[in-house]
Amino acid sequence: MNPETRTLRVDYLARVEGEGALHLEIEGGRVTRAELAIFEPPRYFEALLRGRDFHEAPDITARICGICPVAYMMSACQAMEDACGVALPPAIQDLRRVLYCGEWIESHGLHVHLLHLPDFLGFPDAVQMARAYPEAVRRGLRLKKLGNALVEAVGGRAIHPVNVRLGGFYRAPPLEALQGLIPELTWAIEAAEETIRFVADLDFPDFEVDYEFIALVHPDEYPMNAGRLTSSRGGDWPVSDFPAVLTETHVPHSTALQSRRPDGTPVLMGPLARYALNRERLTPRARVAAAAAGLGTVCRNPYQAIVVRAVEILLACEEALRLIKGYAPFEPAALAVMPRAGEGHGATEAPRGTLYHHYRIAADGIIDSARIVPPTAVNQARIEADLVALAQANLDLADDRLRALCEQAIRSYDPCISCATHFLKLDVVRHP
Amino acid sequence: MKSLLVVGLGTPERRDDGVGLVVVEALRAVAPAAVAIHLLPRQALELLTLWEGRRQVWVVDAVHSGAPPGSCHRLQPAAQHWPAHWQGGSTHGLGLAEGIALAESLGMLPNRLVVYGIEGADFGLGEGLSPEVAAAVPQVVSRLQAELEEVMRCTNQA
Repeated sequence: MNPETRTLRVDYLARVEGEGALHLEIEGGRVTRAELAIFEPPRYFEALLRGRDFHEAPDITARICGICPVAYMMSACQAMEDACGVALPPAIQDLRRVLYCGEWIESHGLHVHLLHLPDFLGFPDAVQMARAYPEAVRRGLRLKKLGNALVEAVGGRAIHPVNVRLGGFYRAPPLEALQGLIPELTWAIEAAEETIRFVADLDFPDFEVDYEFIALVHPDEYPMNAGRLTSSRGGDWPVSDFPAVLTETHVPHSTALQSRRPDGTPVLMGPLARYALNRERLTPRARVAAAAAGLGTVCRNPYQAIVVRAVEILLACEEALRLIKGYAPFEPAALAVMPRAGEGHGATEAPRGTLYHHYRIAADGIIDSARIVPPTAVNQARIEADLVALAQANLDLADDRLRALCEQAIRSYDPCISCATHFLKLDVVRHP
Repeated sequence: MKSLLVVGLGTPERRDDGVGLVVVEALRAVAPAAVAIHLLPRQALELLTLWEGRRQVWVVDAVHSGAPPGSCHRLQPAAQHWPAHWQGGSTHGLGLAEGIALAESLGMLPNRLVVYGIEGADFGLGEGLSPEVAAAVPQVVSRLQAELEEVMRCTNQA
């Protein structure tokens, strides 16, 4: 035990989507505080949405995140369709699932291979790691490119899809556009299996937490676009109960609101939660790969989320391939969504966890209020609690080692602290 | 595939961080037809797959170096290695600096890469450029246009 008082700061968290800072306080050998500061934009976008037409919600909210625009679009569409009483036919739902698969492949492919793997292999970043493990980095880039291609084929544009609208799509993509991706998806299924084997053999810090997991659960499929909100401690609710299941509070060190269960328990969303609640609805191949990777029925070690993400890449590739093989262009590509005064709720499984949207609209379709709860805002309280426990168990480490361990832990939740700047911090040194 | 490529990077919701996108969008109207023009809002890593197989690539992005807002830095990182003191201010996991370094590690850099970095003033949440940065856009567009035309002329003569 270290009797002194120490303060650890990590002001800039590399390889986390967005900006963030960690503040850890240790007094007299006890970790007294772990604060993860998140500078998050949904409040800005909620204000931007008020007074706009309800059709604009998917496009406006897509801009919140460069990594998961599809999640924002899908949750927005669902909430508005819920408000207007529209239920979609299977063909449109299937195509939305293909789009979502693309985003999972893209986001997980990046995170597993380029953002999280360097931690386990002892490199400061992917650039250094690429010299020793070029295959893994190339595989990650190729998977990410495939994810982009899927989003582009269905969504019309990779970074900010333009083909999505309330009620469906502006047009169903031509058959060739999707079928052209079959060879790459076939490659990706084997590549994902290779990644699963690779990450299963990593050394994981010995750290387990008895989480309360929250994820969507759907009777027939591993959840992306649909399901009931479900807790691993029992209970399942319609998406409209989200605000009662998870209540939001302001914390001074973060611009994001923190969500917890009404009794104050912090919960975990994302890959570990989805896996714990939906393992039996993985594809058979993904289930076999998960078992071979030693995941068991529940995984409580946050560092092992990298394995679950790899399994979800496999699942998304298989699902996209299955749906594309059964695809035929259809018309109309969208149902008409007529505005009516009321409110609607939408929740989908973003790569990082359940993303909830709530809107109130007027009879003419003007948005009266918007509420967006991103999974990172829910996970934040859980991450902080885990960091306290982790730091407490590793107090004998020197500051730099402890800092590295905490950073690695934070990255394992893949927090999306989105919409940050990405300008270059540049020093110009001129030699005479 | 067009062998010449111009890419604009940036986050339009963070004011001057979007200047690369504004420049390249404006360039679209005046660039030679043989040049491919792409915008990559909020993502820099797509560069690696986007520039695969291209002969020459220009990237336009916002930078923050302490120079007066609107100043334009023209850099050729591939020629002299990316300076070690260039830290990625990227918060999207991997930004332009890391993307270039990664491409270099993997042997995926284009033969010739030029970066136009435009000094930003305000990177806060919101849309629209600061007046000094907005005022610099036409000049950067003309400079880039002239460089593209020059490269086209040399290519045609060769």
